[in-house]
Amino acid sequence: MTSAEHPVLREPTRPVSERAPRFWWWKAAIVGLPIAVIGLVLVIVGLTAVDGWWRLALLAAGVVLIVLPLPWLTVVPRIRYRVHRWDVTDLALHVRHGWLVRTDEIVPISRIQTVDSVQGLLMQAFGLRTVTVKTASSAGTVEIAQLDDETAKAVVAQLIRITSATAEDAT
Amino acid sequence: MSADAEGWHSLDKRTLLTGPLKSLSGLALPVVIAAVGAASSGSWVVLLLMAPLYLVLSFVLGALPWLTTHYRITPSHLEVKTGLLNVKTLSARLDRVRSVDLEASVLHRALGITRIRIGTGADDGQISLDALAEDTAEAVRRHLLHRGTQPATDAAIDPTPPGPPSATSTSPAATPLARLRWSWLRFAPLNLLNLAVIGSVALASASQVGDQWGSVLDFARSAEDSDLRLGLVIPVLVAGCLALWILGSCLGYAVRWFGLTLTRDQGKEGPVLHQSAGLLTTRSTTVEESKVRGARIRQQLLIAAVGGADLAALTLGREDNSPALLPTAPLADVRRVAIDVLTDAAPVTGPLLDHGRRPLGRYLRRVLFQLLPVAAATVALVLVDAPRWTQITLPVVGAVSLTTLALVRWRNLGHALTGAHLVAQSGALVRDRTILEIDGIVGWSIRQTPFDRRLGLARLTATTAAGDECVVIHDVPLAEAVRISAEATPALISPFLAAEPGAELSSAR
Repeated sequence: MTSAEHPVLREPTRPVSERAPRFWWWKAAIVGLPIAVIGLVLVIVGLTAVDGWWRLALLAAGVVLIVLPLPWLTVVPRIRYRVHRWDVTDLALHVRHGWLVRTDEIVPISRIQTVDSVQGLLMQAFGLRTVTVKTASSAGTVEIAQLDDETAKAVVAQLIRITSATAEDAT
Repeated sequence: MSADAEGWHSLDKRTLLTGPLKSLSGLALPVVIAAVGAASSGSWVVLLLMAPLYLVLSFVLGALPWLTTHYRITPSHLEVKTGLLNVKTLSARLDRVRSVDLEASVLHRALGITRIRIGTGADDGQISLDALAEDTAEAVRRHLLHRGTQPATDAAIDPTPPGPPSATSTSPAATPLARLRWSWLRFAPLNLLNLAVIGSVALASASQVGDQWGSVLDFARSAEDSDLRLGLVIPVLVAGCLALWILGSCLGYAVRWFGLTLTRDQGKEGPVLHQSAGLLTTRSTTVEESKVRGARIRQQLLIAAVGGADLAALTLGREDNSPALLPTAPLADVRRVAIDVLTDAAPVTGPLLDHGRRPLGRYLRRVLFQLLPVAAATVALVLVDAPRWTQITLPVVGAVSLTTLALVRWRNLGHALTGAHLVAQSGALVRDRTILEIDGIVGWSIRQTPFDRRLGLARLTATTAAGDECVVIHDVPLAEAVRISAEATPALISPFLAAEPGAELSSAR
């Protein structure tokens, strides 16, 4: 192991859409609200209907369910926005993502096989679009999530332009 | 079997025999269920009608493939037409054909026909023809992968002219790489992965005949001297199972690998690897060597202890992209063949870089968590007043074996970059040394969990279309992960490196 040099991947330059944090917040709210409501019901039942051991267990479970969505509604969207970054050069695509488990993915443009873009229902409301790049490896699919609609379309066009210029077997 | 005006060939006529037999057995279960239903409801007429219906249906279904499947080989393409109402035509460019497999069951062999599978590189592009005459299939294989002895005309694949049905398994230029040795049989009983599979099947069937087990145990408990009888029954059972396993595993190994030959032939576009083996069902696999992107040497703990290993190739464009090149064999033979196939010794036998001490700490801390259930079990033993020796051995054996495994896992960690290959090694119970051609890498990913970040470790994944589609270097220091990727593919990674060390890295290859 070499210790003399410590090469580091630099942070990709381009952030995702400014509207992405609000999208993440709403997504968390839509999933988290029912969970919190269930937790609230558990707490109420625990306080009113039962006694002893059961009361303690219900209260604990209820509090956990109420607290569980909180990170996603407070800090997670902001951390995500800070981490999620990407770059496209003529040679490669570099994406960094993950607020807890951080992943850097680098794919040579010459090995890209298909470029898709997806816009879910909620994403439509925020004008967001996710670009998905597939290679010959099923383990090598890379997403640039939550871009501005126009940016995403531009990226797709750019990737298709470059990939069709570098005709190769891509395996 | 001659071609029609447009050059389309049919499957072999003998398929009319194998097809119905296959659908006879395939339909047997639903028919039996229906028959039992009809009999229990007393509708004898239905029951009487079912037998001829069953036979006719089997024959029609079995004969359909012969009626509806046609293939032809044009100078540029292989085309297969299937379907009765919706005729589907598959076509594959001949220069994209990467592998040809022939497989013949006992029945196929008795009739002199064989199934042929052609890998075309596309993920779902494998073309299968069931079945062709043996010499036709052999001719097709040679035509697709080997330098054609005749120009690409239909004559080349039409064996009906009286040409000698030559035993063409290999071309004259074939160099043998390996052959089965019967002494390798010693590894068969040690294959615990197979034992696990068989054991679970055996347990499942044992639960079905649970009553008999009950009676055996009753017999053991019945008399007043029950301790003696238990002491007799259990060893006999264990010895019986052991003998059965040793016999069965050796038999399975011998049947699967009988007559193994692995050779390198001269193909149409470069060398091809050719493997054939099998006592009952014979399999013959031919892969273009340019589509072999690496190798995997796998050692299960027990097999490694007696010096054995398994060798698989990492290939492109087949259904099974890590086909076994050899059966479990001595490590020296496995290495020799791997070096032959990769044409480079460094990735196979060369030294690996270790991952420093940080992963060891992680694995040992993990042992503490793994010991929690052991501790709970020990407490349970104390609470139920189990014999004293069990209370002591359980935690000791648990702690020692888990710690040993953690140490083994740490010692096995390693990676290397040799000229043209990336090498990754990991695993405790099963140690894999995966060797991937750098040209076969189609992307990188570096992943860090919060725990990884605290320790400065990462998981480096090289994605590829070959083999299991990725090669993973576990628990490697982050800087080393970046260095490996940058050194393997400098043009790709160097633009994404932070300023300082870039200069040296981009020059190294």
